[in-house]
Amino acid sequence: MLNDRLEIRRTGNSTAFYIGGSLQFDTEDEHIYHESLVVPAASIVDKRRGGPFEALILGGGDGLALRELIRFPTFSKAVLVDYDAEVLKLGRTEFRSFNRGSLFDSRLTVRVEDANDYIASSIESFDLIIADFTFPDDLNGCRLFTADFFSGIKKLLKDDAVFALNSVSPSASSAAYWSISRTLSASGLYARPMRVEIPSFMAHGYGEWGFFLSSGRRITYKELASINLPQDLKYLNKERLIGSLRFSCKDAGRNFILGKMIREPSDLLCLLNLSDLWDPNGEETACEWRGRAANVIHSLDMEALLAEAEVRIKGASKKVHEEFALLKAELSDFISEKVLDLERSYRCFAILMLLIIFINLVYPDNAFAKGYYGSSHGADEEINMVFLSPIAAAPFRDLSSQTGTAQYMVPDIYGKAHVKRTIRYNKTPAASGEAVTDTFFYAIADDVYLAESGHVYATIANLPYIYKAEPGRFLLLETGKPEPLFEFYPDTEVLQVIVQNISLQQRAAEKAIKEHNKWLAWSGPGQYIVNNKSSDAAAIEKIRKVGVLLQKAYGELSGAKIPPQAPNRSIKIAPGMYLTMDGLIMFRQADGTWVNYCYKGFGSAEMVPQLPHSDRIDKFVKDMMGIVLLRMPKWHPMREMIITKSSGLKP
Amino acid sequence: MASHERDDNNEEFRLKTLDGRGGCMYSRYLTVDDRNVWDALVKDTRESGFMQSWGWSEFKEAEGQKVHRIGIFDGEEIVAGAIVYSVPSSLGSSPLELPHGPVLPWKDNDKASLCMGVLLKELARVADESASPAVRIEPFMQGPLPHYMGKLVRAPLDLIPTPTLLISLVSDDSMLSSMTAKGRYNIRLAMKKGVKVSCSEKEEAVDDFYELFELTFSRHNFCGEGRGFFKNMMKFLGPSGMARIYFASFEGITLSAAIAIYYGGRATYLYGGNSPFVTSVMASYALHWTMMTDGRDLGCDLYDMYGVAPAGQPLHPYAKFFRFKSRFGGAVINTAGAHDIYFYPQLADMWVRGMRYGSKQREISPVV
Repeated sequence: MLNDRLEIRRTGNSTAFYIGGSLQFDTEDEHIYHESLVVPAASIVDKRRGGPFEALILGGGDGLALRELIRFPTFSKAVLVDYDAEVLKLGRTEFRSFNRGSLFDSRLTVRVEDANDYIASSIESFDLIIADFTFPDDLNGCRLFTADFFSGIKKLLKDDAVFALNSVSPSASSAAYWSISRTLSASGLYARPMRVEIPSFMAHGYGEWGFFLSSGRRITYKELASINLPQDLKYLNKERLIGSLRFSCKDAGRNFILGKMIREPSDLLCLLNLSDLWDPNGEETACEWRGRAANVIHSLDMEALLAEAEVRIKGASKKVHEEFALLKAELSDFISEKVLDLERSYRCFAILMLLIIFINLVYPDNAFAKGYYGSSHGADEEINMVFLSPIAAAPFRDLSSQTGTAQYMVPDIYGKAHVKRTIRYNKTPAASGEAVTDTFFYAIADDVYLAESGHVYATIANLPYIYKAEPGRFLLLETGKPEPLFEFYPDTEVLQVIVQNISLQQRAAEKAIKEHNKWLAWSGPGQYIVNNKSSDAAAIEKIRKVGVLLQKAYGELSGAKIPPQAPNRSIKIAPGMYLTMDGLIMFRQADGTWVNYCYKGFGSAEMVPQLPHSDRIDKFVKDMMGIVLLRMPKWHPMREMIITKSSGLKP
Repeated sequence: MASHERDDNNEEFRLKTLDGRGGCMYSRYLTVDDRNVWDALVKDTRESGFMQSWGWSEFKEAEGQKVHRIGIFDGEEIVAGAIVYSVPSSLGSSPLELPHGPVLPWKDNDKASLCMGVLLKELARVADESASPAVRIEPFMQGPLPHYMGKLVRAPLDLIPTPTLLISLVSDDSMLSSMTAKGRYNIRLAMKKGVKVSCSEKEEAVDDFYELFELTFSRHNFCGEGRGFFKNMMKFLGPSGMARIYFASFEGITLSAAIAIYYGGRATYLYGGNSPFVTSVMASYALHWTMMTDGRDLGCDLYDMYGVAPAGQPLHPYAKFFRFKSRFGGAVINTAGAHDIYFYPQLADMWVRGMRYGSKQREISPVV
């Protein structure tokens, strides 16, 4: 972790700081994060103590958490422990204006040390401990969220002291989030979960962000409602604080029940990996894994497993015995089913499925491993073999390799030729006579293009549809027709991929130009001998042009809106278009509201505005359903429904 | 048939063979003194690979994995064994992973069978101690695995990609003539254009490599390991020359980068990344050509492209890479893939615990 690259990116008026490619803060909205992490905890301590208090900050070498602490007149002393001297150096220099010189405060002692080592060896105790760690993406990082670590924290807390912890996303990593909650509780710290929406985090696809307020003495609503928040906060107020503490049972969902105490670092890593499989609606595992787990179960020696289980089930509750007996009696029927529906299956069988999945996720290298499917599914099946690839990527895959004559090419990263399209369209569906013409110039990613204007477009396989990506909307265009088809709400997931690619390639362009200039300076005297300079000048100029266009595109797209929730129990068919398990086609409009579209057998939703019927949208829906069916595994629970309701579509 | 007895004096677990050969085959944990002998055995076993090397195991230990180094001895001679990786977890321990393993005398079925028996006993003991429900084996071999491996279940994940493309490393002319016309042309074009290829075995080179690697996996929507992973890799494997980072540049601009592993008779193209610029100079072709010739000069006779798309799957994420890779010639081989041997007592333990836990949780309502 110590060697991860630290990077500062400046765009317009904002500065963003990254460690190893992960966003740590963006000056546009970092106050939301740091006020939420520090202020409630410090306010509670301020009230409980009624006098001077001492704090420990773990991590936070950027000085921003400390800045919030300094607001409190009763704050008397702090120890800041961060293992990364480089981050501390940035905190004292580049970030000084953001943290208001907090790292120079006379009440502060800084220790360059690993948090684990400090906790293990420290004999001091504190009124407030704040943990501002980076996202735990390896075993070392996960070590800071184990029961052992939290027990060590508790030992350093004085009576009635408070521990505030930066956690993971309760939406994107729900199982991991609630497991951290359980682990805090199991360590003797009553944990209050908190969540906030930080626009820069949302734009990076991290989801809403989670914290925990914890203490050896319960922090009640009454206590929180009675604390006095500092006056000059930019984000936090009483209403927002109380709002951040609200979680419904539906939000917690199944993942609260699955939440487990984190004894080993790998437990957390497994749960974080699991989050990538879990459907965003928190209801089903990813279909690929249901198939894989099913394959394994088909191959197990179930007799041997049941015999071993029967020995061990003695002493279990009556309910478990009953369910197990039922499973034994009907096991052969279960296993012979092609589509395993977890809703209908017995709980213990479902637990076995989950167990197979857990076993495979615990080993870190398996996160990068390649999946396998048994021969029973046929060699001609189009199966996505990439372990963590989101289903949503499906609409953007090319169906066949594209070739074009030389003058109609735009290159991609491998020099592969893509069709150079020129499109002409009206600016909005309603406008006419205000046509825009744009030509693709460069392929940023598969099916994503940068045009001469600096705008970004995404194509869908070989279909005549193109999305124009804007921060405020995704405009759906149809080639050959100037009137746009629809204005969708921007798809944050797709935008995030686009923005990330743009950012990386823009930096690559800058670096390439810099390296080339260095080479020119070096080779200057020998230019009469060195070949190729003039013949590749055009290539260098293209890099410059691409760099400028990428920068423009990045500036335009990086301020994306925060997306509202997808419909419950739905899959994404295309950016902005969803299909629910009940067979409703939902479009998310540019203003964030939903409309329902009735197409053939797909139903209409009560209480939801209906999109008027149009032949063009009919064709779009039909084409997109065709793409989805092509990609969908045979055991997907929605496959039959799509085929039936679409009627006329062939898988 | 075999019986076993524990020799408590030496803390070795001895399995006496009763096959009439009068031998005494046993297993014990390897120490650092066994390093060279172990590596010699692995290098000599074509069905194995770099993930069974001592150096790789040190790298994985630094990553936080638990490593068991088990040797199977026939008398005083090490004849088989495995480096086993796992990660302890209270959720249910990971499988005991044997990528490129086990290391067995595959050509002698009887001996391999005996060795596997000894190894399985030891693995069962490790599984019992670590509560691991399965062992995952992935030897680098084609065809179905021998019957003596035990009751195998096809694993849902392969750590070693299959199928893969293997290219014979012979003379320059022979290699070029085995390539496609496009492959040959592009290599020559890169040389003519003046693409320069350099390599480094130092940790410092990781940052430059990672820029192109991150660019590439982000573009193609793959998951990529973090920068720290590669720093650790070069720290442990660079000094011995087992891992090298290659860069292909044109007029000072780094256009292509890759990490190659040289171990035993096989050179492996493990990771790579490309710049989107100045693609006309075919820098990646020059890069692979250099890695291949370097591998040959280091004594390797095979170059492993490390994964291609299965036949008949044009939409496979590897399909576009296969077009590029296939231009270098070679043959696609389908290895057996990863297989699991389940330990039903441990699996049943975890299952029953899960059932009990699930039963308790149904009574708890989330209080927030």
